[in-house]
Amino acid sequence: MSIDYQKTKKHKSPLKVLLKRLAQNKMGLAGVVVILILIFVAAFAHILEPYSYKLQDISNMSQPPSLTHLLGTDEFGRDLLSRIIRGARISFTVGVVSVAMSVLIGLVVGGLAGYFGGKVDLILTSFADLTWSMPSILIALLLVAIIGPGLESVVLAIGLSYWAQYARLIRGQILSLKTSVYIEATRSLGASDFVILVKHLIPNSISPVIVAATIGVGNAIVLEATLGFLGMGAQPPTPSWGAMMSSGTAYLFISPWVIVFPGIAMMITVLGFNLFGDALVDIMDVKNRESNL
Amino acid sequence: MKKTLKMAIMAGLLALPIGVTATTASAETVLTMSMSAGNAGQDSFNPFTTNRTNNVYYMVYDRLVEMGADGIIYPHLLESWTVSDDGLMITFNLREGVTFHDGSKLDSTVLKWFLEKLSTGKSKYMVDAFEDIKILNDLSVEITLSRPDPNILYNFTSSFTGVPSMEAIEKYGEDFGRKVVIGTGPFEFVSWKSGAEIVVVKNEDYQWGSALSDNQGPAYIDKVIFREILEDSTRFLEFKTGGVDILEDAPTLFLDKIKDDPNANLVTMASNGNYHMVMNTTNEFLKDVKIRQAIALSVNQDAILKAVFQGNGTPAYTYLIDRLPARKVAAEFEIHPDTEKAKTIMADLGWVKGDDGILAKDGKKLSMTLWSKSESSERKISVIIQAQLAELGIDVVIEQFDPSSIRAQFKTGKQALVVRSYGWDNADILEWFFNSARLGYPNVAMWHDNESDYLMQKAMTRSKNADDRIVNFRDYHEYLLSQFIWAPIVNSVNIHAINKRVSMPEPRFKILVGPPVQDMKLD
Repeated sequence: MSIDYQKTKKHKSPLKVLLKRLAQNKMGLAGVVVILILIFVAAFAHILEPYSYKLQDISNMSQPPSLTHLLGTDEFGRDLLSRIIRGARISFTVGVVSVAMSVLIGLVVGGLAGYFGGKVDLILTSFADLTWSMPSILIALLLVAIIGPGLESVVLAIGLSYWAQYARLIRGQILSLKTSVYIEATRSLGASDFVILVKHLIPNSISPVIVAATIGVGNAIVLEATLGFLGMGAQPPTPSWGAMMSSGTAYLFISPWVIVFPGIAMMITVLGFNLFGDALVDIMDVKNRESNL
Repeated sequence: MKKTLKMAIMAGLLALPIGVTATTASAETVLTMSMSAGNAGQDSFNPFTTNRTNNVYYMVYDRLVEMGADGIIYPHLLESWTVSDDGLMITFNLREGVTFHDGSKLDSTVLKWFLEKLSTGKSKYMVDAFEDIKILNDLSVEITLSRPDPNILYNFTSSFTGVPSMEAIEKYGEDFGRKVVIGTGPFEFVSWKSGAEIVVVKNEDYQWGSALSDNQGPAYIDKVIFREILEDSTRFLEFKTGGVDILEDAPTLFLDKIKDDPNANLVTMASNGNYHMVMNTTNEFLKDVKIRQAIALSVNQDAILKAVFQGNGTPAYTYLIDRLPARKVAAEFEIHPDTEKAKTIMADLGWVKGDDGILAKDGKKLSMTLWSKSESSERKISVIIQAQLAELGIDVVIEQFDPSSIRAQFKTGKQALVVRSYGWDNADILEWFFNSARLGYPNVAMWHDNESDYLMQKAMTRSKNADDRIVNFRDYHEYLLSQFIWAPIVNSVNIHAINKRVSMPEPRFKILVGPPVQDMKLD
């Protein structure tokens, strides 16, 4: 009997259901493939890059794509492919870490606001709304200006500019869940606020957050590139895609590949995260809940 | 999916920046100029208080004398001058009928005030030898000097010595130079958007053009707009699409393209531009002259000249531009790249490369910042130097600043390495940058040395004549070179791109922007 029971349980494993549904969603699958490739490239960048990303060769500057340099060289004769590969690591790390930070802040703020309601809710929600009313690029620029340019400050800036949407999302979820019967039951069994919130409410309201976070990674990568483009992101010789495109603008008429290839790399990456995110919306059936945003 | 598309488009848009051009259409003739990056970031137009000037000074102010392209000094606001045989008595005779934009008159009272006022500001050194100024009549003053100063007339050709209105300075005080700018120049100051543009309109009453100008009266052009564009490609695009008529210091990256442009002329003028890397002599590592020497020897000027300036210009081996006599120092003082020697120096000092390729000594890694302006050339130079110093084993962290904010940063003294440039064609620039009285800015190197100050004083104040001055400045220059305070990089070219709709005579002044605009016409 017990074996049968486990089998049944296994069959209902949400992960399996998810994977099965994903396999049927071609666009989503394409997104997953892109993300997996990105993770692979980011993880093994130091092995994959054909040249050192910072190796300058002045005699070979601004060379068009060729067999020796598949995507050409930049204004310092550095191999563009190697720099894009290294840049993938930067983009991916910044995207994931900053979104994780946003989600964490959002969970805490949204969770507390939704669960306790009243004045706590009013204060926290007002603060979140205040943050949300400003364009995230503006907040990020301000923060970077205060902390000083660099990769760490970009992560921090993006993390602190995007948390409000997750806070609102989780708050909405918790508001609708906290009056449900099973929560009432848990409470009557004597569970503390902390247990109810962390063990029951948040896990049950996490799926729309995961969806939003997936799309958020794409946003964060674009924001990182924008900050890099403005010279406020990773400092040379670190190859951030945005910074590469920024220095490439000077060479638009001389070596357009310097700006085009990092742009394409970013476009594909962002598209991948968005396709995957869109697929998750369908698969997890959170569309209606997402409209709570 | 909609969101996905939007994101994809946004990402795509970043890949293709589109230049936006401004159009001006009206009956008045407007000349639009893109200032060179070195001219950007001006913070004041008060010649007495400023630390730096840009070419707008040449437009709204007139100078007592002008420097010709032939190196000869010509009269302007001064009709004539005489110098006594012992060089201790000078008479200045003003031109008659010159008025300021506010209607006040230029006479000997204003001239006396001007010469005295110079000693209160940053150009104090120019009039240090003045002992007494006596008004002879309405237009003449007599100056008694404590010592001969062979450089006096040169000083009065400089943009720092444009003559402002005495009345206006007394009336507006602090606002002068920011909100109100009044000179006698061929153009009047109209508006200034910091970091964006400066607008001047022609002075209808102007009748005192210098002898070098064909047109002594009001300019033919009604209005001149100076635009502050930092990015080289944007500057080039603006020029190509007609958004600007004159590209001051055309970016070398685009010289070939401008040469092929049927609507463009290139005008080459004597250059006074120099790029160098300053080393802060109070930095924990850079206070050691040996380390400074190793760094200076690791900078390869030729590579930078090729990559950043496309070979236009000459490698700089000293702190001065090529045509100055004080540039001709003994060969052993010139700073040429020698990476092997640099490595030996560091090894002798006990610095050893770790696994990460960075030199270390007593558990301390050799790491320092390299500052530059976010402007194209200096930024690119810093990236190349970063790689060249990595070769030696120094970990260089690049930090970029906005042109207008970097000077405030120098005052903190936190800089280590800084890529900088200057435009000046007199050896007294050494005093400007290395005088221990100006630590922070312009003495970015925080250089304080008694021997250096002694040689500087000698060159500045105890030169009996022009030849003596050259010898004294050469001594001073050689001493500074031996201390490796800068790593010299490149002496740049001075090529301007001018749209063919602008017609002008062959250059007669040493500058393009300023009095020469008098003779410019627009089709």
